[in-house]
Amino acid sequence: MSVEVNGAKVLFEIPIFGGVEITQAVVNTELLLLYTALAALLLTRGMRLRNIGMRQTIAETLVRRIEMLAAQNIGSGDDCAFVAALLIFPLLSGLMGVVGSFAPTADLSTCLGWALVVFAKITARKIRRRRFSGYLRSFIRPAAFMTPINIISEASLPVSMAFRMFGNMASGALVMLLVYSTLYALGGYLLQIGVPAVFSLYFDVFSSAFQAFIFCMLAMVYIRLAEE
Amino acid sequence: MITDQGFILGCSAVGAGLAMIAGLGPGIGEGIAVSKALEAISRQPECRSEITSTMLLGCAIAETTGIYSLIIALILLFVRPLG
Repeated sequence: MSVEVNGAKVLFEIPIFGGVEITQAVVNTELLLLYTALAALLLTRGMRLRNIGMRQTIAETLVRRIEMLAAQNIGSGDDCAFVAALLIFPLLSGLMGVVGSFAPTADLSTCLGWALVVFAKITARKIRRRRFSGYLRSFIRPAAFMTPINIISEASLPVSMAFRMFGNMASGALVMLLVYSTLYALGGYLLQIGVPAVFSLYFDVFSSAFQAFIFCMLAMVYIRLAEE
Repeated sequence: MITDQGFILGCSAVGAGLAMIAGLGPGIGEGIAVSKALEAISRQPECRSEITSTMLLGCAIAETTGIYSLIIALILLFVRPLG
């Protein structure tokens, strides 16, 4: 029995700028965005003020919950949409792994992209809060010789956020691959039906929901720290 | 006769195993965090949700070193930068 482990496969190449590789992660990310947009459209169609229906109740509950989460952890509900995106994308991406397709968050590029977005947001907040000069001055606190350490700690923020999510999702996908191949070795295709669902419940569903929550909580904590 | 390639692959596998020893630290650390959180909840059950979310956040940060070692192990096993 041999198990082949590789990252996102390159599906095709766009022949501009010397060839842009389109991987499974990119395609699945776009699909996920499409699903999310369709779900949002479906949930918010025909909204009414009185006598609201089932779909509107679901949409309103979701928005209210996330608004409350943002208000509790950041202090204001202004970043509700950003927080919702951070929460919903990794969640749905992990659920993609359940049906056997490639989860975009199991690719380092996707995780690093999200972490850089959070980093840009935090840096923008810091600069808006204490001007650019104040932002630069924060690097020489508490003393000038601390500057390299401050720069490292600042740069480690997106790296650690990206690695945390990537490590968890990729290890989950890897363990599921091993489970599938072990079951195949034990009893052929018959054992691969139903049995992996038990493992998938933890490694895909729980783990991805937990990581989505952690990613979003950490982003909110960093935003609140940037506001201070 | 061990080839150079085989030697490097074997050493990479041993290195991946050694890297995962770092999994000890987060395990112990998270255990301590959860036990303290349980103590806090039993003392003040009304603060349950707040304690739980803070604990989860702390666990996620404590987990970082373990995740780093996992990534190093994965790179050694599947990317094989050395050979």
